[in-house]
Amino acid sequence: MKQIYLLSTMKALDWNFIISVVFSGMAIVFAILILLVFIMIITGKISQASNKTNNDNNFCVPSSSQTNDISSNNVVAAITAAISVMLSKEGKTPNFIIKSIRKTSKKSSAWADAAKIENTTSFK
Amino acid sequence: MDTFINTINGILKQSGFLSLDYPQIIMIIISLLLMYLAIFKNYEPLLLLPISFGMLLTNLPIAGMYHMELFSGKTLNFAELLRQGGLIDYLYLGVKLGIYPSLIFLGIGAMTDFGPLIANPSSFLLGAAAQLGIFITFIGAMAFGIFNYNEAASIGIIGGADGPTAIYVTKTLAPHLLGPIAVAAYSYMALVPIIQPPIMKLLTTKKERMVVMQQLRPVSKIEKIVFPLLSTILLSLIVPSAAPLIGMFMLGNLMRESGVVDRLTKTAQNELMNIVTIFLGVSVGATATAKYFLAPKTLIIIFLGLFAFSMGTAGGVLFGKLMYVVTKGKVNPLIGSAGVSAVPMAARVSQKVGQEANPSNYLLMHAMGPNVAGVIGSAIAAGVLLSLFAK
Repeated sequence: MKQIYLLSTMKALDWNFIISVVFSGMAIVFAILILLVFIMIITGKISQASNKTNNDNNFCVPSSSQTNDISSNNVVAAITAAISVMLSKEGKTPNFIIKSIRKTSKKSSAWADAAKIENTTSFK
Repeated sequence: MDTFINTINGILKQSGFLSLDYPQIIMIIISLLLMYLAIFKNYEPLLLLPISFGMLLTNLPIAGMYHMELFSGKTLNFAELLRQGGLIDYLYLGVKLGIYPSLIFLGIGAMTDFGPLIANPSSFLLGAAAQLGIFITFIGAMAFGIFNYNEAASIGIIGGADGPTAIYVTKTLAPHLLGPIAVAAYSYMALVPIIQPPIMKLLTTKKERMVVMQQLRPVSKIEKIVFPLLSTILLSLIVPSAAPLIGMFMLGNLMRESGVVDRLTKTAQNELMNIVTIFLGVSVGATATAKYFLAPKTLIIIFLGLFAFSMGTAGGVLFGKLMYVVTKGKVNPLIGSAGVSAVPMAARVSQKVGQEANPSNYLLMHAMGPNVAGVIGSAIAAGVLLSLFAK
């Protein structure tokens, strides 16, 4: 008796609707996630391209006119490395460009020296 | 002496002992059994413990801590809630109004690293394929002939292997089934390491399981910040009913990746998440009253929950096999099973089964991609079901 009831209930169900729910549901989930795939691929390409450009810029050596007081490229490299270490956070170095390096003739004040020491001494 | 006897008699008459019936005793035993599984067998204890205790409290007569009838209508009668509401009635408002699942998603978002998914966007497809369990189970539930569309959709969402999503859908579509569905969802999530491996091994060859995947590319901070923003805008516009879950999930992730609100991130990951978990667990457990839980439907839901998990796993692995063929052997199909969500348990299972076939293989990071894609996929599937059936 119960079997007959179940079968009759099943027949009463709109199976076309049930199947359409399944197909449309899966199709929507796939369509949205495929859209996200394309967006992430494009975002990734843009990000990689911009990183490459920035990295190229990072390693460009200042021209001779910008380095009138600095004769050796090694000094430029050392200063660049020092700035890179100072700016790095959690092992990641932000992109930066050194436009010029000049020797300072003026003797710095005691306050400036104190600030330099505070900013360049590592935490213990 | 008469006064003393009358007092004792009065206390006994007012106590719950005389009102305790057999169904309630059975429910108390079930709640103690679930507590045993949580405490001694470590089955999802963070949720199963408060759920089972809520189940215990709700089945104690006279105490009146939870009244299902206050929440059965389409609108809330706050006057009635204030007049006869118990403690869990007030806590349950967070479930009824969809607050707890969304806050849990905020915490999950704050703990999630989308890096592996962004590095390998094709993982999204595995996260989509594993949602097959939700929709196949919907058919299965309808085939039983005793569930209506709303109930079948709520049962199907167990296949998303995502507790908050299952609760979010069920509280809207079939609140009377919240107890069995939550218990099934969280119990099977704890059993993922037992349910998934046989299906994964059955559907793959040893050669496929041994595939070593290429190392993932590093992902920039900008990409990690852009992803939650773009996803929120896009997904909320396409499936507005999924916006509360997706929105909170992505807010949590943005807080994490921006790196400027560490205090908020830590609160969302820890204190807030823990507080909400207690409230959610107790109030969801309280819906498992004897009247609704001790019914043939509960046994069928428990069976269909297992079916949903199995179908979701199979869907992910089969799509993984397809990707293995298309990429000429570069994708290990085992990472497909992680698409069922259950973060990070399902990804760990992929890693474990992969290492059984090839001890030098490390699939964990590759499996984390489909794993978090599964969370997004199940939230979208939930949005689809809500937009179809929540009237």
